Amino acid sequence: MFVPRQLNVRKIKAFTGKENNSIADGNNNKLKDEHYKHNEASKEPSHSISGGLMLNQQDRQLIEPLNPDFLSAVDSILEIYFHRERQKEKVHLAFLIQQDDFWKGIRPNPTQNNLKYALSYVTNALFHFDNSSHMVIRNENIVLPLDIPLYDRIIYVEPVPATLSNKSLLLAGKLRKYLKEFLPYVDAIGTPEGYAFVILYKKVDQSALSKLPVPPGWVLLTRKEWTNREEKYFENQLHLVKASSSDVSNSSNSFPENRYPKLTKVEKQMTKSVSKTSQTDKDEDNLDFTKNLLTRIKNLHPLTNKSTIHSLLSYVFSRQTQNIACEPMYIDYRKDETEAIIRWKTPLHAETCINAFRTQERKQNSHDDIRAHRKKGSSRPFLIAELITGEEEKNYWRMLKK
Amino acid sequence: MSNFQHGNYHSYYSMRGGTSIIDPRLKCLPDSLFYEASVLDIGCNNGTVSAQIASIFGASFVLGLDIDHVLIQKARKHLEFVSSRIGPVRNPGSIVEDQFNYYPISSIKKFSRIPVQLQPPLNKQNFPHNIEFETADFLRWESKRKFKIILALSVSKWVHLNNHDEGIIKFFGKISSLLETNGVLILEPQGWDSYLKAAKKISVFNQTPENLKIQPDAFEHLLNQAGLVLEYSIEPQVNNSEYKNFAKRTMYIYKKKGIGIIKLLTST
Repeated sequence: MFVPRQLNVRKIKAFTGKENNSIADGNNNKLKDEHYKHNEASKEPSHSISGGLMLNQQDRQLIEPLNPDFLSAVDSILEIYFHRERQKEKVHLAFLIQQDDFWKGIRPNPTQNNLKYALSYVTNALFHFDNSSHMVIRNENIVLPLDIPLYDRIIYVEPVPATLSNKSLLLAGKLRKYLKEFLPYVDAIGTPEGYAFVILYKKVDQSALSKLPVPPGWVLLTRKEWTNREEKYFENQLHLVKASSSDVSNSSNSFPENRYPKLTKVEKQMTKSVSKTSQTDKDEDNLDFTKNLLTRIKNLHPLTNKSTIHSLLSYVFSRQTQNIACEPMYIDYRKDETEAIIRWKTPLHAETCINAFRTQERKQNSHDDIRAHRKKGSSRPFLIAELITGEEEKNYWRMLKK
Repeated sequence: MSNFQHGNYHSYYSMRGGTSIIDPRLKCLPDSLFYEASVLDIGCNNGTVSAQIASIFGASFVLGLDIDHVLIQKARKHLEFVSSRIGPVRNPGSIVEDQFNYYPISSIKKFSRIPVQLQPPLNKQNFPHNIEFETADFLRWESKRKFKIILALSVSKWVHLNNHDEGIIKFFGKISSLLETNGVLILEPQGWDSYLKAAKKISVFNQTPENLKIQPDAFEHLLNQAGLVLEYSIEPQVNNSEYKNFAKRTMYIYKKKGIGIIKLLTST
């Protein structure tokens, strides 16, 4: 007897009868709000399988129903896919399965069989599933004008557990039953930092979000509320730092210029010891620093971090030369930026770094990409290393001295 | 320390729903239990529970103790993180639950945590300055003070497996000696099946359960001998499926009556 290899056959479930879960038909030419308002419970899988699936009754008895999280995730993935690819009219299941980014954290792993099974339950006005061709097809004449500003449709999410934040489509699936008033999804953007964003079709306000019965610990904020709280945090932090230190009382230092962290005692000593043996510069502020130690790395992935940059530099150095060890003194990087300033021990290290990126031509494809191999079709720009010189270099060291 | 033989799992709380939710075990306890009390948290891991007791539950002083120095480092960072996230306190003197995660994680990641020494007191009990963390093996640690409440949440198994029957007797005896009169011990012991699982998983404990004569069922007797009396127990919250393994074990609340007679300590 044929049993699909991906389906769990250990728990034998009784077949309870045929259920007519009709797929959105061609008559659904308009996206009706009511569609997304209907009770999500009606979409919960039962122990039966729709008639569209090409399995005989004996096989059906062996299939364990898929969990609701999987079904919600599949529904969300397809909504987001058809929004991202607005020109595409249909997509094959095999293509969807190959998109690893879609399926992060989603269990069971997608297969043609379990996707077919899931799609027999998913009823969505945006698309329908053609069982004979294994294609998910965008419903005709469904037009979703995105005329509401993005600012009003984006939601900041802190999930529990925090690790869900990097599995944006699983997270979108889990939130689906709470956000049904505002669906369909337009996009979901994950980060490895414990927070993510979902973009909805409809406008949301904070009072509506606060009333949603989300699980304990989850935080949902509108873009407006999120920005407001971030600004408050920054003001509070600035206030506390100013209050505690007279050194930071110079309020003329606006935020972007005041971004460089101070050197630790050890770093200061190391910088001084190097400066004794190298070319140094002194200006009117009695600023003592070694020239040509700073390099700027451009076009990093915006969600990368210091340790990834460190690993990336080590890898690039190892491919460039065996004679010079990669020993950055400090990696000056702020979250969400695509540039980092690297302080090197000697000018030779800085020069090697610049040459390495010039000759090797690398692209950082993801936040944790420590090799930065070029990928076919990747639209990311090449990583560039450049030397920081002149007034900018002086200002940097002056800032550190302060 | 690499094989976590002391239960010093480095992702213990992130595996169990994250650190941003109030620990369901604390929610089961009477509201005023920790208020203005001095608390010792044995095996504090990354300080999640300690920080919540010191902030929301209004303890006057909390000491988090763990055998793993890496976890203590994490706990100090976590305290900075938690206190940085607390929003503007509307009711002076107390931190309400909705203020606990007020500032988004993104702002902490973007602008960095606020060092504890720069933070003003966020509640009447001086949080975050009313909490300390220390690396120590509880059985070999010398305390300078006594405590009103001692927490031993999911640590008894590890003390027992690592130090055998003598160790667990000493453990309870020491707890009794560190409690003030009428002080409270909150004990969440693991069951015997959990011992067997650990023995299977961690090679150094393969033979240990066979050599143990005392089983968790006998803890009450041992604690009575150490001068602690069972006040009541709290059964697991079966509906709390979202908390995974939390709130699946019974918690026992013991009280120290009068002057504890630590017979067992003297006999060993």
